[in-house]
Formats: sequence, C-alpha cells, structure tokens
Amino acid sequence: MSFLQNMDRRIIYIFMLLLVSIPLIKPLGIPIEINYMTQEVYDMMDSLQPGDRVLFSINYDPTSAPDIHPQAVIVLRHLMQKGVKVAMVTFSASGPNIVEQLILPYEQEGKVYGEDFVNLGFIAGGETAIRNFGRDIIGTAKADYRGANLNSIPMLQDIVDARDFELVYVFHGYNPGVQEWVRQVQGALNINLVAGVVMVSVPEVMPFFTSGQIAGMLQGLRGAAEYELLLGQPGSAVAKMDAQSLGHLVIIFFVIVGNIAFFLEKKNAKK
Amino acid sequence: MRREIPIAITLIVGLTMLLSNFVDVPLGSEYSLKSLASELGGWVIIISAFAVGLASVNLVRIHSNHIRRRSSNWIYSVLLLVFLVGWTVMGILEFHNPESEALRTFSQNMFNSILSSLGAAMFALVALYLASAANRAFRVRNLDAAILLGATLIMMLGRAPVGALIWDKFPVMADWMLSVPNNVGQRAIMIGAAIGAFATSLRILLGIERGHLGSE
Repeated sequence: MSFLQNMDRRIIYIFMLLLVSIPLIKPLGIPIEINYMTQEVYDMMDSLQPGDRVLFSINYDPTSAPDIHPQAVIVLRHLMQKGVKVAMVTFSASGPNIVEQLILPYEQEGKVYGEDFVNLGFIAGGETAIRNFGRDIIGTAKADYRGANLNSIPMLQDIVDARDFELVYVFHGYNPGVQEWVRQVQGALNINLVAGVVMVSVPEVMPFFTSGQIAGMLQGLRGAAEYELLLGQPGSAVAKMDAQSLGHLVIIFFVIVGNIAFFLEKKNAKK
Repeated sequence: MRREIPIAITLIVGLTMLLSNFVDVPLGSEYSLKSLASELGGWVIIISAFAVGLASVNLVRIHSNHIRRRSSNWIYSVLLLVFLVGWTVMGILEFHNPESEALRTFSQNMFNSILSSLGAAMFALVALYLASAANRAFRVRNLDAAILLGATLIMMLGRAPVGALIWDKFPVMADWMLSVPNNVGQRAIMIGAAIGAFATSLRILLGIERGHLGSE
C-alpha cells in the first residue's frame, strides 16, 4: 500500500506527459460549454463599432502566458476584424515583447501601426504607474515602444485619460493587475473595465465582477477556448482544452489512488 | 532632525496623495493639489525605473563574485551575465534604431524562442508537481481535509470540459462555489486587509510607525 501512497514520481510524470500529449496530437473533441461570463464579454466586444478605441493592459509575462495569452490573441483578432483600434500598454517588464508578438500578424496583414494599434511599452512603478497612466495617458507614457512621440500617433489624438477609450481590457497574470486598475482608475474615473484573468486568480478577482466594478471577465485558457468558439474560429485554446481535461483527470486519479491506499493501510493497522 | 524631516516629508506626501482623491486646491498659479499628486506619482515611476537599473547592477556584482570565486554552479552565472548584457545591448540598439526591421525581428525571435518557451515550460512543470503532490499529500485525514478535497474536485471537474460530460451539474456547482462561498471569504479578507492597510498607513503618516526609517 505504501507504494500507492508514495508512488515513484517518475511514473506519475510519465502518466501525465502521455495523457496530456495525446490530445494535443490527436484532439478528442470534448464539447466545451459556453460560460455566461464569456458570453457577456463576447457580446460587449461585438457591440463595439469600427473606429472605436480600446486599451489593453498587458499584465502578464511568459510564465503565465500559456493560460492568458490565448485570450489576448483571440480578443485582439475579434477587435481587428471589427476595425476597432487597440492601444496596448504593459506594467510587466517583458510585456512590450508580448505586445509585439500580438501585433506582428496584423502588421504583416497590412494593418497600420499607429492607426490600428500601438505599443505603448512598459511603464515601471506598479500601482502608482497605473494610477498616473489611467489619469494622464500621454503625460505618463510620453513615447511609444518604438520611440515615437505619442502626440504624433494618429489613433491617440484627443486621448487624455482612460475614459477616452470605449473600454479598458486588463489581462491579469499577476499583480499589478485588475485590483490596481479597479482601485486607482475604475473607481475614480468610472471607466468600463473588462478583465481577462489566469484561472488561479479568478477567485480573488471574482468579488469585483459580482460588485459590477468589472463589466466582464474571461477565465484563463477555458475562457479563451469559449471565446474562440463564439467567434467561430477555434484555435490553439480549443485544442489545449482536451489536454487540460485529461490533466485534471490524472490529478484526480492520483488523489483517489493515494486515499484508497491510505484507508486500506489504516484498516490493516487496526487489525 | 534626522527623524523629524523624513516624518514630515512622509506626512506631506501622504496627505497630498490622499486628499487629491477627494478635493482639488489651487497651489499658486501653476499647480493644484491634483497636479502635485500627479507630479509625485511621476517621481515614483522614475524611482521604480531606477530601481530596475540598480537591481541589474546588483545582479552583475553578485554573479561576477560567483564567477571569480568559482562557487558551485558558477557556469549559470556566466550564462546569466551573457544574456543580461546581450539583452541590454540589443535593447539599446533597438531603441536608437527604431526603423531597423532586422533588429526588431532578431530581438522578437530571441524573445519568442527563448523566454516564451522557457516560461511555458516552467508553467507546464506545475502540472507534474501537482500530480505528484496530490498523490503524496492530499489525504482525507479529518472533516476539514474532506471538505477541502470535495471543493477541489468540484472546481477541477467544473472548470474542465470533461466535468460536464461526467455530470452536467459540475459546472453549475463550480460557478456557485465561486460566486457565493468564495466571494464571501474573499470580501472578508479584502475588507479586513484594507482596514489594516489604512490603519498602518495612518500610523506611518503620523510618525507612530517608524520601521521604514531604519534603526536609531
């Protein structure tokens, strides 16, 4: 029984590796239900008009990207298809390169930097930087990631503060993120704030959603997969959901095995 | 005076930031309370950016010492310094040549193929550790552990698509757990922490709490 309770971790790793890899190679097609929160975010994005301006706050880095980056990819695709202009800022040091990753396909497609999207780069200072940026965008960022003065960027004309965007979409991998935007900008300026959150942070962001301070929330990779389905363009997030399902089952299986062994051993000890 | 001046600065800056959220008072012909608060916020951004530079200098100092002393795993320090310097040089070149497509592509490829891949690998490793830890540590030893395990299973099955295939009520239960018990607990923690933070801030502003000023 002690073998089952303290199974060689290499066996567990091989199990996990196999069961997660198989659906990535050959998807199982497990149906994905659309959560009401994803539907709300989709409807909100879909109601935007060509020429509207949206601000993305990219608050994640490569370590949390697997769970949240697919959200940014699919929401940006939706907005680009609708002709919505997107400004992207980041409060994470590796964020500017993530933004470049996001906009590259659209630059190659012929969308115009500065007119359809702009990379405002990284602003140091955490919560204080979010406060200053939200209340004085041009004065705080001053230049974009590529060195251009923000006053010369066509899509930023007449922008003063976060209220001048139709909505602000915060992609939250870690702090500073949604809570700082709610505390420093949403409360003060009453902006329309939407959050994309890594699954592990959903519980701590949930109270802001139920209170109405966040108008909508996408939850981790699952949220991205649901959004891809709503948009009718299943992509990498949908493909990864089968692997996530099997990964969860593997963990549950090992919890059950460990507990059965634990109870049997306890029973034997009593005898 | 070594204590009084920093306490006075803390009080003035703290009150400026606090009051600027509620009122705007003209301060001479050019400034107001809000513009002063914005200016002070700008200083924080500059200091934070400076701290990033300072941290880099510190990294170079510590890892240069590792290499010089040939401490264990010193080869990793060499790698760190090579990439730190390389990335910095590339960033400077990119900044001064914004029109250079080649530089931007090279920098982006480095990011995509090194940092992004390593980050994804680190994230994926969590699944392996979780599975191993679940087998070794997650035991139903008492009622508390049973409740914790039950909640975990519902959340895992409610959030993965396979859960709805097993039982269509798993997603409903997971949504309820997030919206009701989780919200209640999170709000209690948040409000409690906010009151605590406010009380601590007041103590710092009034000079009662002086830990940040260092020892006498």
